[in-house]
Amino acid sequence: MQEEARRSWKTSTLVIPALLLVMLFLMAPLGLIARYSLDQFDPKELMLGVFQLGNYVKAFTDPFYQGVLATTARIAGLSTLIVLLRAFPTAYFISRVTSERLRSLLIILTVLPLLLGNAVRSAAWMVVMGTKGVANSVMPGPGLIDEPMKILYTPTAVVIGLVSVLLPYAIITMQSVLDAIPTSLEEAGQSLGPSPLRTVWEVVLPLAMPGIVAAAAICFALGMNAYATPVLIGGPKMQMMGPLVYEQIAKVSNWPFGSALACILMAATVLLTVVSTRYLSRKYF
Amino acid sequence: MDRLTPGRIAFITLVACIFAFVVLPLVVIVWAAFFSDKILTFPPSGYTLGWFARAWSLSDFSSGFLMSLQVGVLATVCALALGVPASLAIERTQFPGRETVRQVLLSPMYVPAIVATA
Repeated sequence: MQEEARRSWKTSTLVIPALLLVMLFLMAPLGLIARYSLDQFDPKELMLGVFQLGNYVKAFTDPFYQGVLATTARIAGLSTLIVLLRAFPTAYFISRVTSERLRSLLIILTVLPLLLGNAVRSAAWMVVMGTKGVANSVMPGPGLIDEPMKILYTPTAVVIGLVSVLLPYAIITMQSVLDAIPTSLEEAGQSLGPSPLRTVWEVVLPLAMPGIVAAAAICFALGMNAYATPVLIGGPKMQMMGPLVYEQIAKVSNWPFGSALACILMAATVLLTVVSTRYLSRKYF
Repeated sequence: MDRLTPGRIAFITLVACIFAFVVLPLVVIVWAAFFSDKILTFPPSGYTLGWFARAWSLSDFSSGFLMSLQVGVLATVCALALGVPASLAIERTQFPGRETVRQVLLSPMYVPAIVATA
């Protein structure tokens, strides 16, 4: 027993290298960002090395930055909602398919887009949604629409792009939870005579809630921090927080203000994720 | 699960549409790579392999591609070397603060990539 405990203790030290790496390359930059966000920008010196709250005051009082944060949260939230509505039936289908072959094929199809990377997928959506793109050459056939649709460079386009980027993550997360729910529970529910839809609603959905909440948290965090999708599909007028942070730090060289925006973005992401998961958890389990 | 009721057909159609949506960008980008038109138009006026030759003759692309390959391989090796022992420790042993450690190790997912590299 004691021998086993000692071996277990030894094994647990295996976590140290990974932990050190995360601390060094994540926590340390985060600390620096937090420090920079309190500094003051100077066109010549870049940073003056002082402590002040001016960057946060600017970010919270300027209507432009308020608007960008609100837009970002709205687009991330809407995309997450659509993703959940699409991912659940898909994940449920995959987890209940009886043919092992079809099941592997569907999982490969789900994961395949992840191999492309966000930038490439967003570029593909640009091809689809451009005025000379696929959507517009398929649609106008028998006078369905008069002029080419303007889809690209609108918030709708960004939501479509984000949904396609986030969907695989949600499907995979939910499917692993749905796999663990035994089919016998649905059969028991079915034996009482309700419609299949009602069985799913009352038996499967509550049991799958942890997976749904996890998927929602991942999608919302990724949506809030999205960079490639808003830049490529949203175009220059569409402002979201990820590109804005990059612009401040890399283009304007205003590190203090960019850092403050980054801190606000992270805080907003964590806050909204925690609040919504708490709310859902209390409601369902 | 085997009878084809209207509800089941509707469900299968829905899932098929969602899969089409997931795979669409992939199909489009592969398809468009063979278009002969210089400016992207649908339907294309012809098909060509020329773009692939062009890509390799651009020194930016070939050097960038090799660089990405090196970075990718190296990052994968490092991630596995650190990640496998860490997951072993977290899943197979008990130690105080195990959940906290797990959360810390997962936290990079919540930090914008732009911030983490700043």
